Amino acid sequence: MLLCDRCFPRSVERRFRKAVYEKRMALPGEKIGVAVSGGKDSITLLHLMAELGRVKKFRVVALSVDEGIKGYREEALTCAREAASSLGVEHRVVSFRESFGATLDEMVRLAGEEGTGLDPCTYCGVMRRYLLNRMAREAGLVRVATGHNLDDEVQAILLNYLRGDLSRLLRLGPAYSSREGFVPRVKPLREIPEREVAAYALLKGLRVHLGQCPYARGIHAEVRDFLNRLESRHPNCKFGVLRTFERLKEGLGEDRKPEAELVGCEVCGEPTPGRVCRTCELLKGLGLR
Amino acid sequence: MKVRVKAEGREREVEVAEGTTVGRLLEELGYDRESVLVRKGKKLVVEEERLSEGEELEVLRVVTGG
Ligand code: SF4
Repeated sequence: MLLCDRCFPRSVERRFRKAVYEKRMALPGEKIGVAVSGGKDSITLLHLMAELGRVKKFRVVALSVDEGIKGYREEALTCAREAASSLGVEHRVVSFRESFGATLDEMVRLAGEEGTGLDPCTYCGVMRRYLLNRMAREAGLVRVATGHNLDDEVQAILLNYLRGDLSRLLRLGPAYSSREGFVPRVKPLREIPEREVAAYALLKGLRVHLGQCPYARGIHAEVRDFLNRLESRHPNCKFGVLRTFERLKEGLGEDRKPEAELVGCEVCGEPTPGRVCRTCELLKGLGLR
Repeated sequence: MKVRVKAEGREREVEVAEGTTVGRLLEELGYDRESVLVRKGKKLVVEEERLSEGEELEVLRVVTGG
């Protein structure tokens, strides 16, 4: 970070606006969702979006999912609530418990008892996306912005690469195309390093939750630390990974298989390429459906 | 010379060479600079900044998970 306390926040705001304009992430008159967990990235994003929305005349709605992770999510959600109310932004919250009949903590226990062999992040990730999408659609939002920063994106590229998950790898991007029933997602902070997002939040005096999820898994943290060590010694390698990936993706784009057609899940009616959606499958495995 | 460093809820005194930069101090303490921010009072400091005797710094971890 080479800028002073005044110039630095402006540089973050400039990069954020550039992403929003270039990828047409929010247009006048639109109603845009912002997924807010309460961490520094999503709180920063909510502030940036709400401020830009006032100028550019789009409306912002904050969306939060309470997975039910004891000792972690409660405080984060308090930060989310505070941010939304201080910005005068509508805030919608849904919980795993009221939607699925169990908190993530309870699901983790059930998964152990049933021997599903799946880790907490699988349940958490799939079901959070499911609820965010449903909330966004019900609220009539045209897009949902998420707080993914440069580090998140580069970690995801590397993780999918390491796992050999090509289809997931190629789906990563600044904006997801829209498909029937799915509200497209956009990532306005995708080119801003995590450390700079944190510095912005700090300099702006935003109240954010900085805790670590008790279920954060091994390889993810290892990849993160590896990238940070590399970046410390070889500045700009994170951007390098992102740029190379984008060029590869452009080149591979044409060879991709068309995505499977979507139908309504037989159990819950949400859009899915199969008969039963992944969330209902997971719930069934836990004896919750 | 000595500086005071607050990190992860602990405060300690660290002996550093004259002219040591913030970046160098982080290395000596085993932090990689990408994972932390350094604060002096209410201001963030850059890695190039040189330390002076008796200064108080706070190291904040910025990477989180979840
Ligand atoms: S680390 Fe896993 S369980 Fe925790 S919030 Fe993230 S996805 Fe959910």
